[in-house]
Amino acid sequence: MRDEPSNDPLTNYDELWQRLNDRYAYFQEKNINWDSLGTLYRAPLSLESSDEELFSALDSLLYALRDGHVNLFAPFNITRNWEWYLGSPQNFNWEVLERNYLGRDHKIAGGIRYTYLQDSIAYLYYGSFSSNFSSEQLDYIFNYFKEAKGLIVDVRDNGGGSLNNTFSLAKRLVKTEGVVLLTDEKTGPNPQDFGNSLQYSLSPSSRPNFTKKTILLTNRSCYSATNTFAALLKSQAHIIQLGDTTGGGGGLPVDYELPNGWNYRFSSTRSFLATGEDIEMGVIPEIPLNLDTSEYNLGRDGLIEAALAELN
Amino acid sequence: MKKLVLISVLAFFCANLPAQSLFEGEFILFGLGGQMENFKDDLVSPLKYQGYSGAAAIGWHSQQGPWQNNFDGHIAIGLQSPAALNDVSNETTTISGSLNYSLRYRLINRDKQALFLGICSANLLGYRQHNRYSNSSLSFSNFISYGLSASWQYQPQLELWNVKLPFAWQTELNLPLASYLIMPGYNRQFFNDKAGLRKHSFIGDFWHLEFRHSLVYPLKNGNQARLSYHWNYAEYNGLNYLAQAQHYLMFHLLFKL
Repeated sequence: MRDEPSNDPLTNYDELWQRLNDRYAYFQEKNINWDSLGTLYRAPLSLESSDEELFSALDSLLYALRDGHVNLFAPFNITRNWEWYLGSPQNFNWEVLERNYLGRDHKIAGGIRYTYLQDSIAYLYYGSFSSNFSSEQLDYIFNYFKEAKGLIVDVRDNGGGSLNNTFSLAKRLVKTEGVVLLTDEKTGPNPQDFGNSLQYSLSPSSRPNFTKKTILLTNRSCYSATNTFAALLKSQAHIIQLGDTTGGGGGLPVDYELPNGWNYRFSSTRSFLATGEDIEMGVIPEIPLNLDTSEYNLGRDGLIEAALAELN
Repeated sequence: MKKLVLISVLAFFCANLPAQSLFEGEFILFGLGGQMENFKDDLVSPLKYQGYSGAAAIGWHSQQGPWQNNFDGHIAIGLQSPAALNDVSNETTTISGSLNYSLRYRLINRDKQALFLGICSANLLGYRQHNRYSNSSLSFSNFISYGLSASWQYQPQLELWNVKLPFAWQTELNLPLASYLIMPGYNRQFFNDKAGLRKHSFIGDFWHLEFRHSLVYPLKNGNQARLSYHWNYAEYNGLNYLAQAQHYLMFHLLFKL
């Protein structure tokens, strides 16, 4: 059995740097010079550096990856780069949505809240792809919407979750069959070592679905699986994305640990639209729109209002 | 008094001893014991994980004339954590097991000893679930191996206070020469719903060894009790290095068919 690496600050730093150097998927797309970053942030460290100093150096190193799927979990803190949403308007206000649009009598099935906003405009809010739903619940929802002339699918502030749920819901919304997503992954330590390419196709569900005009509302807090959800619907002519670019997070994160026991995760795969565009930094809407936050005081959600106008 | 009790107990268990080798015959076996499991899995950690498991075994052993057939397996379930760190909550739940078949022919048969040589199929399996990981929490290693096998039997005919102690000893070795490996891929466990790495490998790229040492004691009606120590080691030098070592101590009962 091979020897274990020693547990000193420099070895811990080098172990993380090397692991990502060999296995992180997005150096080229993000134009990151990992060698120079590694040297830069290693310089202040020594064998006597404290845990806090080591954490700080690794935090700086990982921050440069601009990736919400990259985190280091120390017992006292977690490194993160959340600029993908903190650097943009939130474009979402739950209180306004609940009180003035969903109302007191909206329906809830699984993690999905749904109602009619106007007589013939259906509205569906899904706040987390980690919240499961069953096929029967989707049947009920889309049967309930079958007379609607348009649908608003609101996934704002949905930070992701299960990819299975993204495909299950997307299947109820697509009208045409085709390739909707491409992926590959790091398969070796060299920069060009990518392989295991996959094409994901979607076809309309044979169960109750909705294939009339649909507006997908997104903001920058749509991350990971929700980013993928927006990508799955991108090729559908009857579905219009409205709001802000999704937050990104096209890579599947995998976990590992340092010799000192701290855990970390990083993106190991890449995802692309069927047209070949990388979705790591987000999916761009057809109708870009930011909320006028002064409308909150009037109880209005500008994105929902714009969606209603589009559907009417 | 103690001497009298010991002699009485031995006399009871040693009744109806066969004159022939006590290994002769056809047996089914059941075993229970404990296992110390070590692994170093580059998909999981740069650290060696170590911990204890409970283990159970079942099998069929046959020795008829010069031929020896063994078919047995064991399964163990336990928890492992980084051997070098005491204060972390990182832990794997590991299910491991082995499934072995060996066919051996007796080459040497002297007064108290016999040596068998033959072939084996030696399979070592391991599934590890990490408690702190998400998408990559599962790792696995399957060595489906085949190669050479040997066993050595020794019946020393000991006596203690004029009471015959019919203990015997058996050492077995399985040395696979090739193995079909099923493991995770470089970064992820599965590709297209199949294990990321599936390949035939030959000795040098992988190592797999299994030793067993058994202290054998005859019971009534040709049955046996065995106290066995097994050492099972497998290593693969690929993109993700993996080494898995099991030490297990097991008490077996063999019932003569």
